[in-house]
Amino acid sequence: MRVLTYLIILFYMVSCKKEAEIKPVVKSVDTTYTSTFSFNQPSNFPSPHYTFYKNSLTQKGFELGRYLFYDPILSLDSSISCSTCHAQQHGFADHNIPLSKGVDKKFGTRNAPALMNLAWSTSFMWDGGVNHIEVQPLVPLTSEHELGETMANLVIKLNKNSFYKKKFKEAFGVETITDQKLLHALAQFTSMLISSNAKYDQVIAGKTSFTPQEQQGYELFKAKCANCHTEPLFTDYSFRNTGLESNFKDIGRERVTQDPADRGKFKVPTLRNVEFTYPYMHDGRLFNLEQVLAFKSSGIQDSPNLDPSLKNGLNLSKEEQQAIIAFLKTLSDYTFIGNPMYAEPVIK
Amino acid sequence: MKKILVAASMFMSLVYQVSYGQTYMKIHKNNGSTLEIPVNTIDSVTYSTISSNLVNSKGNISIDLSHKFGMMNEQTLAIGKPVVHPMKGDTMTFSKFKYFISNVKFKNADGMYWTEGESYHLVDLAKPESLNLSFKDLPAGTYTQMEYTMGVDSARNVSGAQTGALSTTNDMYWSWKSGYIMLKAEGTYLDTAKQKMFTFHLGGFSGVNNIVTKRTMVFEGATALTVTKDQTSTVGVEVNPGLLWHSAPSVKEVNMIHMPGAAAKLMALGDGGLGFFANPMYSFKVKSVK
Repeated sequence: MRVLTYLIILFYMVSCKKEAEIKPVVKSVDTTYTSTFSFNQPSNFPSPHYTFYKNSLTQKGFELGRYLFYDPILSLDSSISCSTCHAQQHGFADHNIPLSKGVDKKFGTRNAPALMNLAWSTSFMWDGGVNHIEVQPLVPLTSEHELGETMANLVIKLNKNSFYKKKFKEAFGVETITDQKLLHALAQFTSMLISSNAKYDQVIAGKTSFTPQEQQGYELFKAKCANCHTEPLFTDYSFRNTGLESNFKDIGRERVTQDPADRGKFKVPTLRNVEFTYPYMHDGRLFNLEQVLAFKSSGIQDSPNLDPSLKNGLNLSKEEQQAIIAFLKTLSDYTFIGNPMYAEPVIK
Repeated sequence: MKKILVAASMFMSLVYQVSYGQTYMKIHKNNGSTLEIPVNTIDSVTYSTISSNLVNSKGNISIDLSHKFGMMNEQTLAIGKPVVHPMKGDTMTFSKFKYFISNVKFKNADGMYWTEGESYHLVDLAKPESLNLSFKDLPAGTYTQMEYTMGVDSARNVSGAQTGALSTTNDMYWSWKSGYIMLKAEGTYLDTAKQKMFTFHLGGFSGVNNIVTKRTMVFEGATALTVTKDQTSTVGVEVNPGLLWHSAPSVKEVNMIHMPGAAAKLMALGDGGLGFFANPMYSFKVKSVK
């Protein structure tokens, strides 16, 4: 029986050999780049959520994503790019404005989030409506209040562009640009925006130490804040009502889940580079860290699903608030906001 | 012998796995399709027949969908043509009607399965070529049923950017709440002498909102399906989207759905599984096999 099975398999194998050859996996043209280019896993971070499954990370793919991120070709009228509202010097948040303007010159309703360590993120957007890093750009690309495009039109525009035809071929070996490859390239760039070299990381690695005030802030932080802003990514990726209002105009995560228990809940943002990403909260209503700490300390408004950890406010003295702020500034990563790898590409 | 086996293994992988309560030999073809042959129930003679047909005798199946409306499928559904719903009495004119059929496999009389690789089909009433689902190079023989899924399986809803029928350029994806729009029906209806618009975008791939439905189309009797060498067997199927409103309220009461939830589920699955995605008898009816 077994012999017969082998014979059948062989018969099948040999005969189908001619009809369908296995296509070679197309690799990036420049192998010297790809051999040294890899995902930089910080030693104090957990394994990333995004695994580049079916989207192998290459230098060419990353560079293509970088070009696209900075190119207004992705907007309806070529007026704005991803980088318009996600600027490197601000930790890839907007230029210190609460809300951002799209192609229709109207403001959106939520603060453009800072982009970093996205490969660890389990969901995207303030309400977590997006479930995968590759499909996140669909929101800003197609929202009429952001880049205002359609995916079909973007694919047509890119296929007419000789520069991108060449770049996509180099990165993915494709003659025709698809929405999938566009999204893959953007994911290669955004997932590589890794910030892991703040003073905090140096202290954790034993290379330097906190000042007494920073150390006091760190102890307070661990006691009062780290339950949600969990180290080392400084978020637990959960959704919480932080008591900004008792009656939410923006229902937050409820929009996605249709569950009234999720009313007014928004994703816990990372606090890395928080010094550069002001203003704060989902609608950018608080302009500096002093306001945020004062609010968390004594401005919390009660409602049925207010996060239990904030029920009576954090009750921090002025001195304690200052200490926490001093600690938060140790999360500023100047090698991140100054990394030339992430900067606007100069020459096309 | 050993050398040839190694060479052979490059072109196909062989695994044994238990499914449907039987042990199957699974053969992955290079074009993406898969054959599953039940090991226990088939004798050596059947094996040699199957293997011979795999190689020497292959044919095609075309599933031709024609869309109907009405209790007895007596109205033809086409873009821009008014139809009347038999239960609700609504006069509706569709400007758009699209839905996904996925994960197609055919079962033959010996219990063998032929499974299409990358099996996602976007049926679009405005695109005649999308109404013929074409399956190539099946081993010759008698096929008793087609198993398929209405909608897009949950895996592809959570796995990032896709291509082909699942490309976002097909406008069947919710950006703000990741997931496929598995059925889109848009158009106008008559409400007391006035034309009003309806927009139904149905989806939902998990939990209580799941509308993804596995179902079976049977070929028997007058519609027995035989695949013959180098021939295409054409199965004529009548599709009746009127079943979207079997359990759901009149379009005059609900004229818009744009996210997963109870309302979408009522249209797709219906009470007692009598909605368009689930109805075992009437939503997809095999009419002829040629």
